[in-house]
Amino acid sequence: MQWFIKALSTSIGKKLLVGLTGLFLCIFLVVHLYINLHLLKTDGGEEFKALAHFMGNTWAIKVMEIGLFLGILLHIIYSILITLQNRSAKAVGYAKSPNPGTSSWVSRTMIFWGLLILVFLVIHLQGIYFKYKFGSEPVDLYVLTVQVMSDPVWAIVYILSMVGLGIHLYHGFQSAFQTFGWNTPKYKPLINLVAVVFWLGIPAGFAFLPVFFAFLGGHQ
Amino acid sequence: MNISLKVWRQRNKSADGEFKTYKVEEVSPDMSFLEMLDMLNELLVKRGEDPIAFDHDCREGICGTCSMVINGRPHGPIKGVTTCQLHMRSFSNGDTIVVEPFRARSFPIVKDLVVDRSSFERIMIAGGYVSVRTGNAPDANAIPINKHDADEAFNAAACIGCGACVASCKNSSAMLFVGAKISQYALLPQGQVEAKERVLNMVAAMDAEGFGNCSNTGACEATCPKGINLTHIARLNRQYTTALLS
Ligand code: SF4
Ligand code: FES
Repeated sequence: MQWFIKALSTSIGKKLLVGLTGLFLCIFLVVHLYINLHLLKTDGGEEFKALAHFMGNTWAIKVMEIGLFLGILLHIIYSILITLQNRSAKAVGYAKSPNPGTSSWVSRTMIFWGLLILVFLVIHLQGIYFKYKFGSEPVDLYVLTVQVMSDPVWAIVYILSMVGLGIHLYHGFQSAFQTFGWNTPKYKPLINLVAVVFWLGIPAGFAFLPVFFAFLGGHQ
Repeated sequence: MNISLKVWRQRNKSADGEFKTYKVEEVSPDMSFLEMLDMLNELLVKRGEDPIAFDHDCREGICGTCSMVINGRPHGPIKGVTTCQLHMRSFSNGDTIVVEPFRARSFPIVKDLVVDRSSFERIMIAGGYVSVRTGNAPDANAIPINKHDADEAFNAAACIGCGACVASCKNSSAMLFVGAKISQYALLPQGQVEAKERVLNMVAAMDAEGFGNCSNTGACEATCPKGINLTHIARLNRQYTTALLS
C-alpha cells in the first residue's frame, strides 16, 4: 500500500492512475451502451427494464457501482492536479505559438472536453439516474429515458456531449496505453484499431438513440 | 538579404524582459543562424550596446547548447536541425524573425537567450551512468546484443540533451529526454545492473526539478533535432511501472 501512495506522488504514477481509471470507465461505457441499445427493441422496454433491474439489484454490480463513482472521482481529481502542475511548469508562454503543426489540438484541449463530460454527467445523473434511484415516487425507467431522449433540446445536448466524449476518447484511449508503456511499434496498430471502436463507435452508438427518438420518430 | 529580428532581451534572471527589434542587413544566405547573430552582435558592440547573449559551443549540431526558439519552434523551422546548423537560406529576404529563449520553469533565464539547463545534469547524475569494472577493455564481441536493440539504443543515445523537447512541450515535460536516456541503457546488457534504481531515481529527479507531466501531445517528437520519438517515452513508462511493481 505504501508503494502505491508513494507512486501517486510521482508524475508517472499519477498518469498511470488517470489511465487506469479512464480504461475502467471505458468498460463501463461498453456495458452502458449494451443496455441502452435494448431501447431500440419493440418490446415496450421489457428487456431494458429487466437489465436495469439486474444492474440495480445484484450486489456485485452494486460494489462495482461504488468503484465506478470512485473511478470517476479519481480520474477527475488527478487530471486536474496534473493539469495545474503542467501549467505551473510552463509558467511563461511564447510570443509566437509553436503549436500548429507540432501537436494536435485534441491533445491540447483534453481537460476542456473532460470538464464538458462532467457537466453532462451531472445533468444526466440528475435527469435520469437520481430520479430512478432516489426519487420519491416510483419511476418507469423506460418511459422516463424515452421521454428525455425524445425531447429535441435534450436530444441535442446528449448528441453534442457524445461528440465531446468522442474527442476526449480520441486522445485519451491511446494515451492510456502510452502511459502503460504498451504503445510500441508492434502493438500500436492494434491499439489504434481498438481505439476507433472507443472514440467513434461508442459515442456514435449512444448518440444514435436520441437521434432515433427525437428526430426519426422513435417506435411509432 | 535583409531581415528584421525581434529578440527577447533580459538583463538577468530577475529582471523584466522585453522584445527589441533589430535590422540586420546584407546577411549571406549561407550564414548559419548563429553567424547572423554574431554579425549583429559585432554591430551592437561597435554601437556601444550590450550584445545579445546566447549559448553555443560546437556549432556542428552535437553539443546541444544552442538553445533558442525561432518563430515559435525550438531550433527553428527545419526538422532535424539545431540552431547552429540552420542556415539563413531557410528564411526569405525581408522576413521578421522572432527569437525567444526556451520557456520552462525548470530552465530559468540567465540572460537574453541563455537559459540554465543544469536541471538536466542533475537528472543525469541521478541515474545516467553504468558501473563498469576498470582494467582492460573487454572484448567488444564478448556480449552478444541483437541488432534491433543495438540500433534502438544507438538512436536513443543520439539525444544531445538540448532541451528542445521541454521548450516545445506545453507542459514543459522532460520525458522525451529522460526516455531517451533510459532507453540508451535499458536496451543494453551493461545497463541492467542499475536498471531499477536508475528509472526510479531519474524520474524522482525529473519531478523534483519541476518538469511537467507528459500528456502525449507529441510536440517534443516534432521538434527534436535528433529524431528521438515517443516510443522512448513508452519504454520509460514501462520501465518505471515494472520497477514500481518489482
Ligand atoms: S530528446 Fe531531442 S529535443 Fe530532447 S534533449 Fe534530446 S535531442 Fe534535445
Ligand atoms: S552549438 Fe553545439 S549543437 Fe548547436
